[in-house]
Amino acid sequence: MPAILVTVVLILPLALVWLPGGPPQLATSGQVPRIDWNTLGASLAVAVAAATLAVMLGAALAAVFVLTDFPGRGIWATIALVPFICPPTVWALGQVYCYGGGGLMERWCGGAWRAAWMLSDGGHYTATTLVLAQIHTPLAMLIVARGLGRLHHAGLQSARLFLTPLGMVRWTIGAVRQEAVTAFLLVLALSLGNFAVPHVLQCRLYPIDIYARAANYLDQAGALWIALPLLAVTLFAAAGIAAVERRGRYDSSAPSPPWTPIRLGRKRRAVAALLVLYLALSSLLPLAAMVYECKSPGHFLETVLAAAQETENTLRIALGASLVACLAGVVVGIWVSTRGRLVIDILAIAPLAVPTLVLGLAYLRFYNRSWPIDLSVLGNTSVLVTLALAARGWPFVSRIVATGRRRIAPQWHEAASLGGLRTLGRWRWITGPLIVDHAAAGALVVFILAAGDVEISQMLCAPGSGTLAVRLFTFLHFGPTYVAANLALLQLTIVVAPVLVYFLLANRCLQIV
Amino acid sequence: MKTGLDCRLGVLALVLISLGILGCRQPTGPEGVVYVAVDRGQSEPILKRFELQTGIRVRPVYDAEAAKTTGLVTRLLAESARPRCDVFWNNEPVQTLLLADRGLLDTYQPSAAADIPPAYRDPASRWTGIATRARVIVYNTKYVSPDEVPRSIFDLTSSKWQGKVAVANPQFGTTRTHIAALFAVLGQQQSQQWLRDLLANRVRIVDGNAMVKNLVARANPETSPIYVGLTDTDDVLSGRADGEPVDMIYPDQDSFGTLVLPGTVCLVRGAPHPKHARRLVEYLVAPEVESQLATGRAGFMPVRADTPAGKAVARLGTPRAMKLTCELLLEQLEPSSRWTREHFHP
Repeated sequence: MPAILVTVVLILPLALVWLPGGPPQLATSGQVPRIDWNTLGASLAVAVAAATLAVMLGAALAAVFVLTDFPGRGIWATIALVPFICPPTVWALGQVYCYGGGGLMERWCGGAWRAAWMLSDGGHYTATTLVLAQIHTPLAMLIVARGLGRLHHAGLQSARLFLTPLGMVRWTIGAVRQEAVTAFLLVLALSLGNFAVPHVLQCRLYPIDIYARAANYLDQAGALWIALPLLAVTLFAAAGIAAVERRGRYDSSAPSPPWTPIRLGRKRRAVAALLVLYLALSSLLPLAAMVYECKSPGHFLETVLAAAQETENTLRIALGASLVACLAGVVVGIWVSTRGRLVIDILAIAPLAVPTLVLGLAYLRFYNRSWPIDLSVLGNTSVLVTLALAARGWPFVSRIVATGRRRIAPQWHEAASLGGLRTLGRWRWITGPLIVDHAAAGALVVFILAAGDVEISQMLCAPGSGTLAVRLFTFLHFGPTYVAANLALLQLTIVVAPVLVYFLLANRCLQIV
Repeated sequence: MKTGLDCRLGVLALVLISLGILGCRQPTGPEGVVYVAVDRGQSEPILKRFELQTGIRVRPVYDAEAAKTTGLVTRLLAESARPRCDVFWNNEPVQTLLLADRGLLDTYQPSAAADIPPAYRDPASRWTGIATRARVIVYNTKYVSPDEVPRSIFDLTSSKWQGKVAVANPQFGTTRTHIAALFAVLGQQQSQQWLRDLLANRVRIVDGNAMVKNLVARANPETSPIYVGLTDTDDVLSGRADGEPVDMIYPDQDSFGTLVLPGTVCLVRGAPHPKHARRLVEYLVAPEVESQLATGRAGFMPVRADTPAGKAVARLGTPRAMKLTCELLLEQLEPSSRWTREHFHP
């Protein structure tokens, strides 16, 4: 019951967002919200391109890590996850320091190569597409890896014996098309709502319009109004995910047939070279450029000390959000997994597709409405931002938990029932222990999202309780470059380090998510 | 398995309860909430010093380049029924005038502001002006010699500077105020023609004034030939302090003058901590703070004639300022904003 209440509390601001009775607006004449279809079209094009690229790259990486005998797959897979773990603002900033004007590459290679690039990418659309694809490639990799991991159920050994290499590729693509479509739709929805990357790269996409409407035109209601077309597309994508995922479900009751990984043989070096090249260009060089911009360890230490309060706030808020999301997500996930209706599946996954800007605005308007009880006590605490970040994250938890719950063999529940265990007992002895790792993985995803969030945090953080992401956001253009670089590095450290340790110790990322 | 699960659930419950307590904790000591539109690098040390001097905890909310001052104004407006903010420390006057117009500001005449010239104080005591900035032409010292620098904003529309000029989006921030000021001083027709010429000259529109300075500082003939731009003095002086190859001139000194904008400090109506808010206002408008802002890397121009300032910082009156009144500026704000909304698409 408490978890159901928490879930209702999380959704309520979003449900009430378009109802009249919000806070007053500083509307001035001629400020009627207008949907800019060109920008919306550009956003769609960028998101589709980013999703396609992410799925292709993610599938290739997943194939290497899951199907082959490539050495050190666990460590490589963990390294490949870094762009997703890293906060989007930080990641985009690293790319700017590396490939942007006056960046590392320009210093090394001169301006000629960049001139050609700039000619073809005046509005920074290609750059934004590439960065969005980089960020979401690990997510696509995890989802496709889930499909590849169960190929042995679909007759992988037989396919390897009887099919040509090309036929094998076709067969594999066909076998994981469900996961590939899911990954595409998920990346599409997340890319469409991403504000941080186009903001850092100065690319005018639709979330920038929504933000400008809310923050600069002083019109939150108008911002929510113009967000509707974007929301419609993202919700459609979420519904697509729910529909696609219903088609084929596998549980862990089926014994896994023995299978041997594909031997790469001489191709191992070529694969290793390609992998190193990809990771170097997409991750290593931008991170090196960021470290270079930090100037010195002294400057970094200075930043750490100056941002001590924000670091504490970030950890506290992110941890709180992940725990609240975990609580709500487990309840919803288990409930969804026991129902078979498409509507429920869609409703459960829909919040995942709501752009963070819309969620932040919803909570802000919810707080500022006139209520019979005084909510101002919440205004000076981190409760609002924690709840909003939990609302952002809980669909991830519920999705992961629902997947885990569906893998539990029904026979175990039947045997437990026959043995006299009631619902609570079965939950305690069977479901609980078997989904605890899934819940932990979900909580970890929420922690990553919450610690790197800038949209919700800068709208809802209580005065004097800002997070590291908000501090970086305020120093992004105003402060000296080294301050922003050091803050980005600090944020990267506190987000990535615990996650990497978890993945390396548990080595579970590919199996769980 | 039982022990493991019980243990995990126990830890989970403990952490949840701890977080609940931590998240809902209310600060016990005296405190004040301030919304700050002055760059964080400059304002944060000043507020920290106030905390040390008075023991009053300051809880600031800073603006960001993307939202600019208007982001904080939105927040003040949204919270007007239940204000959370005590003091609004703005870096320009127009949004403050809008808030005053909406009745969101309280009257308070700080004693520390007695020596501030009346032109920088609201006759109704709703705000006090300090630490001014000017709208200047920034140029890259590597690629533009002092003789070539445009002396007037009208020079920016000449073919010599085609595709080489950047300005911030004129719908927001001080650029918005600048356009309103031009509407007031030059008249609507001449201002609109200048804006049309600027657009025809392929001006680069960016997110904010800091971005204008960054583009000019990182100009590259092959990749980004942006050599001049319109921005604020604090952006240029901060860039110079960081060793960037930028300098500035005060435009139109031989004609209608340069736009000079004071920062403003005001008390929010219904402030939750009025007593501490007044102390903070007194502190912010005091000569010491203005001196700190004037000698800092952003080099704000002090409104008091005897306040110490950095070498590069001009004194009020040295650059010839546009002759404007608040009423005139407010009157032209909406027509100019409407026009730029229709014609500028960054």
